[in-house]
Amino acid sequence: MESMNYDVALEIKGLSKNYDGFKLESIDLTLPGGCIMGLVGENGAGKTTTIKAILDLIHKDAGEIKIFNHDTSVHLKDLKENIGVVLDESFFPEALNATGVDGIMKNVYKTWNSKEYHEWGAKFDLPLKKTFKDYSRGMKMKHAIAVALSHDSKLLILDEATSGLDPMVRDEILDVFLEFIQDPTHSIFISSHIISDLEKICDYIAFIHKGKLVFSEPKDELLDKYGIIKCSDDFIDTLPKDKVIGVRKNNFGVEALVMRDGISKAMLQEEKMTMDKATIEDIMLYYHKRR
Amino acid sequence: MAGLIYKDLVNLKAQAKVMGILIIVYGVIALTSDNTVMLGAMMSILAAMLPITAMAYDDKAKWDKYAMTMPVSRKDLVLSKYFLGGGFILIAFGLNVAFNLVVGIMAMEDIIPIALMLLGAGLFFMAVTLPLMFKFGVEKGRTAMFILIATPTVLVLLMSKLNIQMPSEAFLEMLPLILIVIAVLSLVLSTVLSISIYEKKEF
Repeated sequence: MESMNYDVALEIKGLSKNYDGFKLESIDLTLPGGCIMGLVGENGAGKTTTIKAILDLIHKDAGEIKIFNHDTSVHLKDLKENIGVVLDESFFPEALNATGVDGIMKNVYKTWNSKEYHEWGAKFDLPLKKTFKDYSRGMKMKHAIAVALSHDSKLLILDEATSGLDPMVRDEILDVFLEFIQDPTHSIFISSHIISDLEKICDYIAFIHKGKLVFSEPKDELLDKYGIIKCSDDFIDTLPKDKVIGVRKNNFGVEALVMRDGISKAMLQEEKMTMDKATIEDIMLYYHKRR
Repeated sequence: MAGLIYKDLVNLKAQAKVMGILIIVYGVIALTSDNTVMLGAMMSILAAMLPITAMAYDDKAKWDKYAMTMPVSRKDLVLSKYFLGGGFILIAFGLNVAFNLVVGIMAMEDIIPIALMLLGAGLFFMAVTLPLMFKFGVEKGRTAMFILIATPTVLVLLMSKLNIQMPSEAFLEMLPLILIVIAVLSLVLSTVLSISIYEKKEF
């Protein structure tokens, strides 16, 4: 395999996977090097399926996946030397301890760095001799992250790595991710349904809904693009359909997620409305209530 | 690959005590009853069961899914279990021969042929069980395994009922060799089958 190109960490084109009752349809995603992309979507939207397809845990039906500009269907085994992965609910066997893992990984990764692994272990307060049977969920997650960071990883792929953890631990882990990303050759692809976590750290947000990609955009552009207005039901009907993403009715009228460019200042003044900022969570929720 | 086998060995360390006790108990039985065949058979089968035990630990932690995120191929994951089992069965063979040479209960000329038959039986057992485990997982695979183990027993019982003649002396002399050949052939077939099962697997 020729030298790596870290300018584009991950490129997915036309990824499809058919299951009985669920279809992942032609997903296109590009994660530039040095960035964090958050993958959001409801349970069963296809986040985990996408991640599994990247790692060849499942066989894709169509599409092309490149990591560091190398086709994964040819080079994945070598590429994995520099990919750190944390999966939800999949860990080391219970009878092992951290010292044992060091011995295993030395024989698995050419890129394994024992010193770094022990430094992360110390940083996360992980006991070396205790078997994983006696680790809490938070400790298991931190340990998995320590492993993911200890083999010269250039790309971290994290599936729900912060869910089920308390806010303190989550914050600690998010800080680690932000520190990791300081190196311009490093990138992170993270899925989570804790949107606030993603909003804190991500440069890009990709939103999958019922197996389809709704958008994949820089977070800041996304936050600039959408707004929330409170207005009368009649007013909403005067707006072009493609500028109104979703509507929520209440006793006083409606609340709607709209594209900012569809509503002029003059319109707002005339109706005596204000437009509020939309959070990523708002954007997700309104897409569900799409007209 | 070395890392995967090392992981299983660390994982199986918990079993070492139980295995040691079993071997000592059967060793004492062998000495007091002047019959060492049971001990050899027990060691061979125990060794052949070890990859299954290792797979049970893996299943519990959903390790395979995790392992697939590391730079190892599906083929490596399958082969590591065959090497693990094969290694232990060979150790059992060595222990069996050494034990018999030391205690001298069995006639000298019988030691190697009988040990070879048990070696073949262990390898054959592994060849039959591992594809089942890869296909169905350890829980369901075990049921399939017991059905398979019961089949030859039933066959032997039926044959004894049918009054089929005992095989000739010459055939019995050839038996260890025949068993080893069958075991090796079935192992090759079994490995190919397991790899093709595992290549299709989704996690």
